[in-house]
Amino acid sequence: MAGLVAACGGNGGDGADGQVELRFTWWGSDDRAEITEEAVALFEQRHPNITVNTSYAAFSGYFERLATEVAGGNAPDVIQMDYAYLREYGDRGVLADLHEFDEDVLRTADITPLLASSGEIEGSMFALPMAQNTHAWAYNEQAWAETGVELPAEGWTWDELLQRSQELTEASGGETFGTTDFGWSWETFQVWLRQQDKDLYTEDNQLGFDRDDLTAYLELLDEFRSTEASTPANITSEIDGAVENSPLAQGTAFADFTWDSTAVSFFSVLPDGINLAPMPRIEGSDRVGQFAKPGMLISIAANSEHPEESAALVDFLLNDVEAGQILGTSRGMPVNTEVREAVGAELQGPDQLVYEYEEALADQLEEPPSAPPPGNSALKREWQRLNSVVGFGQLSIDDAVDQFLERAEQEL
Amino acid sequence: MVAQQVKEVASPEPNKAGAAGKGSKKKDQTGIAYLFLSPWIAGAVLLTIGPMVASLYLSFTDYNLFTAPEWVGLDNYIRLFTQDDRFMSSVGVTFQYVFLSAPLKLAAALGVALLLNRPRKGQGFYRSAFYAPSLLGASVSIALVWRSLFTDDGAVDNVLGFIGINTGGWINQPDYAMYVIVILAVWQFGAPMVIFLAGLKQIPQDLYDAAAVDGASTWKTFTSVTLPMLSPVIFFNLVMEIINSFQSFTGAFVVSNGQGGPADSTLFYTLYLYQRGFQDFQMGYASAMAWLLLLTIALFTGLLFKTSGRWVFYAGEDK
Repeated sequence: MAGLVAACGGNGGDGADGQVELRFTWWGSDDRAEITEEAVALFEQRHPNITVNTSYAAFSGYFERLATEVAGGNAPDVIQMDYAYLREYGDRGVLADLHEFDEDVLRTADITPLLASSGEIEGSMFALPMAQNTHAWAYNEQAWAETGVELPAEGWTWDELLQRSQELTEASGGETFGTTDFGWSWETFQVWLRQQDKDLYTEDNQLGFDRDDLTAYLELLDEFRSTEASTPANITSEIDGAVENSPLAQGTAFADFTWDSTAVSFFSVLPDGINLAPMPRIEGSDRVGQFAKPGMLISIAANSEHPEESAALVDFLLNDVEAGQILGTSRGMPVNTEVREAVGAELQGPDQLVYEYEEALADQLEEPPSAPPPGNSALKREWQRLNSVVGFGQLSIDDAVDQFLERAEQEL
Repeated sequence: MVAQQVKEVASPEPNKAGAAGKGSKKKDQTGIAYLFLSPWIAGAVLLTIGPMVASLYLSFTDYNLFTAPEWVGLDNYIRLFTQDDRFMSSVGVTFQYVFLSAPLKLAAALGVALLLNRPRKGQGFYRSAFYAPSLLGASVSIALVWRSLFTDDGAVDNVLGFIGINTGGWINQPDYAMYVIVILAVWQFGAPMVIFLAGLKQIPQDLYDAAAVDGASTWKTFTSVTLPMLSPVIFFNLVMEIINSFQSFTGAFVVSNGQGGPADSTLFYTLYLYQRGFQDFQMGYASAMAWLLLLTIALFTGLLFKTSGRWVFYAGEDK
């Protein structure tokens, strides 16, 4: 069998000369692929005995493919991982515990303390963060300024958001809505909950909020819609996660909640670009609710035949300054503080905007909540569905709350 | 069936060989036949029967793809019917789609086949032109084009706006989104059209001549000659279309971006199955859904066959 593989692949197995082959897979766009290849080439240059076969896909489809590969016993050695899926894979023995590697093989000392343990689940380190990002309020600054409505600033509140959004819609004569309906965003709900010392999930993977919270939030969303402060349901339902399809990029809304690492992409669609502001707060609360989120993580397969070499690759991607300079902020802010400083000094344009946004918020960001439980993806979808159904007037808020809680009971 | 054919081809051989024991020689030949058949047999067992048996087993388990499946008996099936609203709405959406798209598509295919059946200049061109969507239609890129045509401020919205109808987009509203996918399906009528054309060519010209002599109108000729003579082909196309539309996936997946939205209005059965299996890691549950789909399709096909005696006419058959 081994002979067959070698014969077919040409460079399939590992030769007797100590040559090792690794498979590394990630999701992202073509430009991310280009610089990742460049960094990988540098790694191969430093380790002549290691060849890295890379593959990448768009985010939609990536995890479906990965699941199939893993189920077929054919997991890649090094895997770019998403926070939302970490527990799905980690809990089921797919990922190696990174604690088992020596600190000189896989250095973690310089990883920003906020994120250092984000990949840890019940004592096992299933992944290391590749990048840091956080929530942001992205707005079309120029269009907004022209209306004369007061711009967002640190410390603004949800009430102010509502009021200003109404003014914006009015100022544009109803052509452009003040904000994108944020009922699509599970993450924004999470910030709102955290501002009230709650969260999406508790430590034991139950819902971290109750019926009243859910009702209050859905009513808030409804108030935005009914006063035309936010986009109506037919525009909202065009949102699919792609920047170019968002109302902000389409010019049907002045602003939207987003991840700051995504913000850069708006510059290619909106000629005047955007600016970033922190999330609005609850009146009278001093908790920001925003946290440093591991933008992407990196894992090693538990059954990798070359754990040491895989660890070397992970170490290189995270901690090598030269690699960091090649990779830039394409995955978000680098997590290694040394790399971050080196990269930050050279940034320009949109990247610089994001960098400065994070620097300004650095001392207010909280540690990320632990990775979401299995069932999260189903619940997130249910959440988006209910917002849409309520938005189209097909369901009352009370019924939506009932349906959501029922779903949560089944999925968690 | 294939085995039977091979047997027929192989059987004269022993007679020619004569001398050797008849039975043993025949046995050898059968062995050779199976040898040549082995790739297909292996394919059927490994790629079709094996996975089917596996998925039937998995449908009685809790299986998350990564750890060993856990036997749960009928739990998945019970959950589907008692606890899953989205399952029910996906069933509703799929039936709506089947009953809209299959008849419309066949009507379009038959209509165009009738037009193309008469000899005219450039016939070959028209036939290929009408068949082309079938070749392209299943592709992701066409579905993407469809998406942009029917979006808010898309081409369709703009044209309708021109005559004073303001829809605000089709794919982004629960009341219209389904129709976009139905239109996409109907537009791909090329395959049944080609089969209809072949069927039309088979109708003996004498019948039309006789009808003309009797002074039958065009409509009368169509209902009394063309339709009955074409009924076996209509039956075949109907069965195929119903099966296809039950399994339809790509259109809904791409047009709704894998979500089945807005508001679950395009949550096709297969789309929900996919979400359950590959996004929620509930492969056992998804397998149960797959088996229910198989049973439903079998049921519908069976019903069609049962009613076919009443309306499908085979030449040479006494009625």
